[in-house]
Amino acid sequence: MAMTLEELEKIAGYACIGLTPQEREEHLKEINQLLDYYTQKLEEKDLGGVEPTFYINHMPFRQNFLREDKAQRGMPREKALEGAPMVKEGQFTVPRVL
Amino acid sequence: MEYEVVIGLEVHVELKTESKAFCSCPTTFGSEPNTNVCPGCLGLPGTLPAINQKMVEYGLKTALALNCTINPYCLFERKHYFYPDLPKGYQISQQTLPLAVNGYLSVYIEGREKKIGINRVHMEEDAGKLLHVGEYTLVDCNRAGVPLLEIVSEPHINSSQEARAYMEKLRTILLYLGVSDCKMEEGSLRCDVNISLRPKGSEASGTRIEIKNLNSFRSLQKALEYEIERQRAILERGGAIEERATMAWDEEREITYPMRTKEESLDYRYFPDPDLLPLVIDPQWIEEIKRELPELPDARCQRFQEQYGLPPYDAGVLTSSKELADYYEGVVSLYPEPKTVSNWIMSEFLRLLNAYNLEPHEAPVSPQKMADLLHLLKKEIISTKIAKQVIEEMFATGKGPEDIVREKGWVQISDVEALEAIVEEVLAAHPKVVEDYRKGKEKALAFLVGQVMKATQGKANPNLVNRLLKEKL
Amino acid sequence: MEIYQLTAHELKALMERGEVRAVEVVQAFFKRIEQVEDKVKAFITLTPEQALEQARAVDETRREGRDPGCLAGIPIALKDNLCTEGLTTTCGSRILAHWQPPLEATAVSRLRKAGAVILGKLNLDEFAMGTTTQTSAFYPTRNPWDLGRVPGGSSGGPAAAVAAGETPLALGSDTGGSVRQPAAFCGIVGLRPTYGRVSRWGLVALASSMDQIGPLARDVTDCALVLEVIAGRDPLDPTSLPIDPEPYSKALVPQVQGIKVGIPREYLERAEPGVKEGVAQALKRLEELGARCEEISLPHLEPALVAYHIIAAAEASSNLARFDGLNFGLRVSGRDVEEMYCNTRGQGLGPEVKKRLILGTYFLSKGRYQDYYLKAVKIRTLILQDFRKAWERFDLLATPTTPTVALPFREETFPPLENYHSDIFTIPPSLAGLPALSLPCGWSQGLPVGLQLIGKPLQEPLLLQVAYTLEQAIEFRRARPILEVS
Repeated sequence: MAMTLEELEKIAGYACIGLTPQEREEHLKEINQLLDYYTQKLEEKDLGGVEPTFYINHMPFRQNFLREDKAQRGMPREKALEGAPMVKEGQFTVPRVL
Repeated sequence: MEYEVVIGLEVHVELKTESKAFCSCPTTFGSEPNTNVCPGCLGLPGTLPAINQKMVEYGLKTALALNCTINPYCLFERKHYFYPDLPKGYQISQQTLPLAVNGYLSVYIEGREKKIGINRVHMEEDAGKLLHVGEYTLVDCNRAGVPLLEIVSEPHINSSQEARAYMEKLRTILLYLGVSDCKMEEGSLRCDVNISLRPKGSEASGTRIEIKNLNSFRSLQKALEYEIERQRAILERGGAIEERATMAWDEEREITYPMRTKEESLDYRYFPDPDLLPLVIDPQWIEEIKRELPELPDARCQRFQEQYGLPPYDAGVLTSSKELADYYEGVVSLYPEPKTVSNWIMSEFLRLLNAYNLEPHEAPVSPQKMADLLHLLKKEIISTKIAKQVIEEMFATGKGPEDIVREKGWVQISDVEALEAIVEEVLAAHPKVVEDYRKGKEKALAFLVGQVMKATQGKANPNLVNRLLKEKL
Repeated sequence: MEIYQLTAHELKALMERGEVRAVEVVQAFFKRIEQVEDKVKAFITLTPEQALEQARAVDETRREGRDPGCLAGIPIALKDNLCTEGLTTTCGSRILAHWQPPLEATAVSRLRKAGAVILGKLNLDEFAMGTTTQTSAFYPTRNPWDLGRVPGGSSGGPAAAVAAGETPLALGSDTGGSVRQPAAFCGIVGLRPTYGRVSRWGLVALASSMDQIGPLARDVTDCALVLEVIAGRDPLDPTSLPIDPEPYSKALVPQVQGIKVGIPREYLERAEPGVKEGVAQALKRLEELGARCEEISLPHLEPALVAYHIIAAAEASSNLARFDGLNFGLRVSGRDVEEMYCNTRGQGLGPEVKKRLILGTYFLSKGRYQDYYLKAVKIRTLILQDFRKAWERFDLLATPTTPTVALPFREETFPPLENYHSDIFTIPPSLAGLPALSLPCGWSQGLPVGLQLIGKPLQEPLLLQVAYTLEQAIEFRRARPILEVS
């Protein structure tokens, strides 16, 4: 299942990653090499009836990790905004959407 | 052709927890922008979520009240999209294994019960708030991470009236549970609608349109009415409904208009959040939550009919809010004449609450004061007419009914001699009316009673006046 | 012996006996850094003023007779994907080149509390994606044993800095082998704890279901010392285990009698001859010491590698979505928000990261989820089953850490497949969340060879005990690279 240039552009769009035409070409080549290998290896294994493992949990007993509902003051606004590239009226600022 | 309307509702409820869903920031509404934020809800690198227990408990309460099946364990999943209101680039939500599924709630349309299916109840975090100013969009993350429940109905709703009833009933239940303040104007209760039309009797589903931005019961109903007509018109002239369109409701012009959507369809790329292990909901926990559940509106309505002998209509109105039902029961416990109490609450009390824009528990007339008032009435110390004036005064001043009656000198005149003199005067002043009455015109009596009441500024005991008039005539 | 050549526990003893002050120790290491850093390029940020201030405070505390903490005055350096409050944390990326986190990693604050002195932040592959430290946006780090070779990665900075004597201790992060593989390439000890043993709060996530913070040091004792401090439950990390840290340094008894060690056949077979030879000799030594070594088959090496890369890419594509130029880090402007996102991420991230994010996005997209991601997490189940079966017969598994010794440095990027295979032995325990350690065990082509020991979940004490016993027997630990001092 090779990735087409069109597909690459769509996926890069989902991931919001801008690529130059040259990057697109290079990435596509490498990605398809990897996909070839991955697909081949995945097909070798019969995974029928195998359950997925999404999490690793070595807890000796099953236990939910829950936090008590206690509010704590967050950080001062100046600190929250400190690292932001653009701030107006105490808010993070981006080019207008819509 | 006749069309059947098919509606499904997706309701978002902000939960009334102290802290956010996955961090400890306060959920306070209306703070200065970006003052209730921390590295976690700002989505800074290196941060991790920690589940708010109360969010889960509120979710369970709601799911149980909506007769849902609770999943023995549920997954938190990440829903991905890039938008400035989403600091992490994904929203923690639930997709494949939500908190609960397969419930229903009952609405009553013209006295008939209709069960509307609930497809699912799941937990997720709210996004930040955007403010568009000139060429910029400003982002306030105070709301980012506030816990939400998403309650998705089955497409069992067939009219705008039913949709509104569903929404009102859901709100009542949520308020009974105390899990949300359900303020639509502040966005703590929000609703998106899916609507399609299909030829009556057809099994095929019509093309669905989504309507967003419905922030009051009125706009929900109006938008649906508008959209149903719009779609009917299109179908009737043989047109086709837009595929996968999303509309917004314009409150002022009272029309729906298409929202601009991305050209490419979105792919949210859900997958289990590797930071959050599956949440185990064991039967014991469910039992604990069940024990904490308050009596719910339907049960209470039923009980009001049985215990107090109220007509269904009264019971329905009185249990439409927990506070009102509590108020009613408070008064009845002090003045055990259920129907009289119901009448007073449903007329004068509710009218004044509305006028003062108050909730029952905020009223200056406590259940005790209301019972005191009814006692004065019963002992014929005041008349019904005076009682209505007294309750106005009670709302205006917050004083007790005895004080008001005393200060205003509104004690009912039940002194036979005093009244006899007035009755004589009235009869003498209206010989024509007296004659009419004697000729058999029953209505004339009412006029004469009115004259006596007028002469006593309404303080005469109406029963006594009636009796005396009849004697004299 | 120079101060910079000593281990942390040796320095600790000297300081506790009052033979040397913390300030002197810290100065000695900064002097060493000055001498060799030009060649090694292990650091991204150095913090001499703060370090000396901390050291002075430790000396002061000690003078007053108060307990300065169990790592008092001991220098440590941190991989630059560990958040340090107010101190630039770059993740080796342009997108974070100037980011000063308002939060601190739990592991780091525990180190500070124990009195450790932070020397600076260390180089890494960009966002820990790589096995060579060449994908760092700043510069590659060199292997102190041979400056023409890579130090491994992604914790190449930490491994090289420890090997070069620039710091006695370093903290790295290990997702698929990022602590163990560079430790093997640089001839030092690197420990990946059980998943959940050390809080991940403040570690910039690569793949959340596998990331673990682990120590790199000159010997096993030092690793135990650091683990003791950083382990334990943290309310800020929902995947941290509700288990108190154990006194790991107490586990260090030279005894392996009767311990059953499994040797996965497929691993040895894949290693290049020199590595195979080095590992075989170490295992022979282990048997002589009383351990019972036996072959076992763990067949899913290649599927594990593929599953790892799919899972890691998928999780990374999600974890790195927050780098969008909205509220922190680099922003490259655009005509609209969309273009701003694409420019920021397109120009702020390097090619390896972009490639993996595109792949990860692809693996989670409609249709591909079933084809790739779901299959990968099913393979993960097979890996867990393989290990579970192995634990029925063995207390521990031993493999080479890497198929080769440190690879020559190349100007052009490595072909991805070749690169990825460098982690092929370290990946299976990562997928299973097992504790594993790389111990320098011999030489090949004049370069260190690493032995990987894999333990049962939460069995760090046994892992450390066996590693310690072997370490005492094979006399590698005094070996130091000869770096010509400029």
